[in-house]
Amino acid sequence: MKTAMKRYIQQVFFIGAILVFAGCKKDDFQPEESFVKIYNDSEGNKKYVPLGIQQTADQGYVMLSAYDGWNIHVMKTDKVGEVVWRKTLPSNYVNATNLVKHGGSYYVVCMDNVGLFTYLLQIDETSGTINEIQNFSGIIYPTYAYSNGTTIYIQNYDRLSYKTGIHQLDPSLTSVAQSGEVNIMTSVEDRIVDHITYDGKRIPFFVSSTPENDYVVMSCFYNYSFSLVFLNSNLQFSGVYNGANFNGGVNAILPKGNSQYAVARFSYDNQYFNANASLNPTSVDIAESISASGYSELNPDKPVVVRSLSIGGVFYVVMAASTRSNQLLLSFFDPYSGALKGTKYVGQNTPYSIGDFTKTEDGGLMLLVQAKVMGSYDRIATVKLSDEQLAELLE
Amino acid sequence: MTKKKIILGVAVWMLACSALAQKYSVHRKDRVFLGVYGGVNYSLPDATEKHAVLVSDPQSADGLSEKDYNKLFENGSHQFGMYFLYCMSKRFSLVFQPAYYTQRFKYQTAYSWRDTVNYMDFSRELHHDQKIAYFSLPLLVRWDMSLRQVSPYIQLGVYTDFRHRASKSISYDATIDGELNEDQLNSTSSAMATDHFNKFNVGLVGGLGISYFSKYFVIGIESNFRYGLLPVVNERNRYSDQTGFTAQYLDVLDQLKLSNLNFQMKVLFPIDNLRELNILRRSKY
Repeated sequence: MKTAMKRYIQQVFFIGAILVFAGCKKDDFQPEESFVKIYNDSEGNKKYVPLGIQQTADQGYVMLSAYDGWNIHVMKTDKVGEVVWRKTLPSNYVNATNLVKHGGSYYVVCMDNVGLFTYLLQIDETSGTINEIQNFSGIIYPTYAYSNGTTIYIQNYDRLSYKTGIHQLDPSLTSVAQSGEVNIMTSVEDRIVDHITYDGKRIPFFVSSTPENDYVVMSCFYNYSFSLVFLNSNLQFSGVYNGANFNGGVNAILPKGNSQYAVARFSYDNQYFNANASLNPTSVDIAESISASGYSELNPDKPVVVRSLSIGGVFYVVMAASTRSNQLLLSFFDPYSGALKGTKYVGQNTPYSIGDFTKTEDGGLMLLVQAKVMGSYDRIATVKLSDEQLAELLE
Repeated sequence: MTKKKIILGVAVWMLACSALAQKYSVHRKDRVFLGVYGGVNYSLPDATEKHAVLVSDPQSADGLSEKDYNKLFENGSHQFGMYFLYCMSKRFSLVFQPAYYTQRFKYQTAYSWRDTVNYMDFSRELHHDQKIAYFSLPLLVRWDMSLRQVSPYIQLGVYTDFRHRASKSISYDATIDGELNEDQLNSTSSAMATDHFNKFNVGLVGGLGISYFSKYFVIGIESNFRYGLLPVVNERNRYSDQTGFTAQYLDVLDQLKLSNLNFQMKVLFPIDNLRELNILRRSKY
């Protein structure tokens, strides 16, 4: 009896020791891999709309947003989402279009609140200062800015000629190298003012370029409609996919090369995706002719962001949109077949709207969203998804 | 109040046992006892890392989003299980107490916004209640101070906890005063939060108690303090929002170590040498 009992006790201790060692095994999880942060402002009357996010060299993030209409707010966080600095720009700088990364620096294109002309500002992420590089008195109502890595383009609306303009800056970023324009034929100033002041519908302007750099493609007002316009390298009109008057068009695009595009288009109250559409940059067609699958749960009035992303060594086209029930929907598509490979809903119970997202150096995804805190206050929020979370949903 | 009641109960119990029977000494070497026990426990969370969803702005009042953890005796829960006692010698015993052990801890958060334009200020105080159920395997060495029928003892050992499940609920009102105001009270339903907590924990346990050995059974009470050595919150799932409360109630768990104070009663029966159930010997003095 005693021997058996001693043996039993030894076994219990042995199993216990194994369990203790197993439980003490250190998890290699790092806090920057996954987190949710909501950036508060205790002033209840303030309202923030996130516009753009970029990861910085120190693994932190710089974020651009609008507050209280067209005023501008810039913030830098560290890699776990804690605020390093946040700035509100002087009141003459308004209507930031989006955040542009160019030559390793971060730029904001915005507007003068009285003269309506364009400023180019540079963000010094280290010191938290924002410096004016140049103002462009001939570019009125800037609506979007884009860098293809070597050149910055600024899209605008010319209120006098009723034209959409596109302007290529010279390498010094202090003057316009060349410009192009397309004719809208009618005044859209009311729509532009609603857009830039955040008093009405936001319009999904964008500018991009093909990987071959032979075409600039942009969504803008053109010919009594909101259209997808192709311009050649001299910024001369090449082709167009006209939207359904001002109630349809393309709200996001990712040129993949060889005339293949990932396209998010909308028509009235419907949102459509095609991750592998063939578009002819010299054709004149309608946006509804671009074949795409409808997503009835998505809200076409909210931004759509399209990016390519490598997950586990496999490339995907990722489309981020906001559902009518105020969640985020991330859709992952095969870039070659356009087949849907996975989806992820982000957020529950609290209204979320996508503002932007960026790939992170650790293979994850950083979402910049607008969160309605306590059902009342529109605040900037970030949701970081780890590479592991992304891989799980694509298994 | 609860603390006072427990101390009073223990004192009465010790006095009663002492008064009733000191005629016999207890012959327990190599005896094995098996029984059941149950009781209440109180958790003491120790936040080793602070985490928050809401990042405060420079203008906001400091500390509003800091968690304010409830005191020990406000974090009450319960446990029950089997009690296995092997007396290795006259005084030293080995105790194994496999149990279903539920721990609970609570904290409060509070937020406020002021609207100087539309005069619509907003305040919310949230009371968070977490329950974690473990299969617990404590193993202790016990030293009895006396060989008589009434025997106080101390014990020391280790325990391993295996998480079974966890849940969380939040009650909130619109007044920041540290209390739940019934006239404004709203509560969420209990949401499963199992994956927010680690599957395993290990710790040290020590305590004291008193047993009364009767002719055919043993009854007793004891109190133990359990010191959890490992963090209980799952880092990897901290923001996975299993409860759906992360953004809605601005809630994310700190990293914690959980300590625990328990009070429990037990009933044991000798299970070996069935022909000689009588464990008592008349005392020489």
